[in-house]
Amino acid sequence: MKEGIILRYTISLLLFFFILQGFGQKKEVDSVKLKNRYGLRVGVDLFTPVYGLFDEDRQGFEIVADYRIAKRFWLAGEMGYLEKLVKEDLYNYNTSGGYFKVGADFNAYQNWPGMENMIVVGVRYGLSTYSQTLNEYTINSDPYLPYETIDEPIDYDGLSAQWFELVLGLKVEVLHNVYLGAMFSGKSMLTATEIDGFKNMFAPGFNGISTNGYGFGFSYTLSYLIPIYRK
Amino acid sequence: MKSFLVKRIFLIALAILLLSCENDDICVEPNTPRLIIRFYDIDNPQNKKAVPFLGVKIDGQEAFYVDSGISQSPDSITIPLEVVKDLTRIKLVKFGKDPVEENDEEDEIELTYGRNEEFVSQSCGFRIIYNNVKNTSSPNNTWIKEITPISDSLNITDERRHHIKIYH
Repeated sequence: MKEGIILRYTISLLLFFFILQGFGQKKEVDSVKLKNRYGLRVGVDLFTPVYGLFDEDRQGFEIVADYRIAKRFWLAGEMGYLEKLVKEDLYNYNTSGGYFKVGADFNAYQNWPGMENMIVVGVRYGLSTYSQTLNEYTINSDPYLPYETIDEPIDYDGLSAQWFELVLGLKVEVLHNVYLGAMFSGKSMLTATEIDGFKNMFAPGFNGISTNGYGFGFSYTLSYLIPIYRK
Repeated sequence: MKSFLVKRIFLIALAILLLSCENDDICVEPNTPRLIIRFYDIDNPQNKKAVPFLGVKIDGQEAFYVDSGISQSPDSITIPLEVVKDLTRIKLVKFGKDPVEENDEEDEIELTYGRNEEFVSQSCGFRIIYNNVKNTSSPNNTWIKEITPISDSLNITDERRHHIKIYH
């Protein structure tokens, strides 16, 4: 009997507090005017350095930055450097060089008030200058006859490539002003230097160039927002 | 609703990543072209004449060359040329109907040429094409009567048609 009264009392009290809390929340949202932070966000790609720990054939880094110009638009860009050893069955070659990309990001995500996460839909123009070294190759011929592997390196310098990118990704604020991003990009080659006697099949920043000129990229970014003003 | 959209975008992105890892190319382009010989009748030069029980061996090799396209009585054969030398000696053995080795007739043809390296594609790598192919065989033949390249400045760049005619 006594327990029943205590239980009823406790439940009523809890219910009361819950209702009170509910009122409090509503008031808070109504009274505080939330402003968006505008500023420069800079960061690094985590994917390439971490991948490089496990695969010494691919080494490089990338710096990413964006600057908010409107409620849902950012100017965005990346620059980086990449060295990669590409191994095919009958030959292998090194590519090394730098690249930069500029473009714009659109936030397709409607945030709750006070949150600034992003579903990024973006476009980029990319430019890369690099060089390649054909390390060794074996002629593709009938296995009935003897063959030899030519291992005198051949250098191809002064190569360049320009391309267009479509970026898709997520950027989430994990700590105050600290963002984690996962970005995918589909790329389409505009121009790439033709190599006499060989083929331009890899460009830093673009990655593997397929026969029809398409490529894919992936990056994990960690970036910090330097707030400049609120609006 | 929103988390559903996020999830969907994430899945699409993951699919793109997996696709991009795939090394899509397998070598389908022609690599180093082989020599194609077609056999003709010496008495009736317009007509093709098959060689029953023919064996092909390149000088320096232990085994006969076996081409998956060879039939037992071919009127044309496909033979690889050396990729590390500017000269290939081909032994063409016309086996007798009996298993007695003395009845086999062996002729040798010799070809000299220039070699050009050429990049084909990502998956096929490099190949060689042969230019200025000349017949430098010595004339003391047993069963072969005449060896005629289809042109004076013969280049072997593909396997679409025969390069040399042999009359017997």
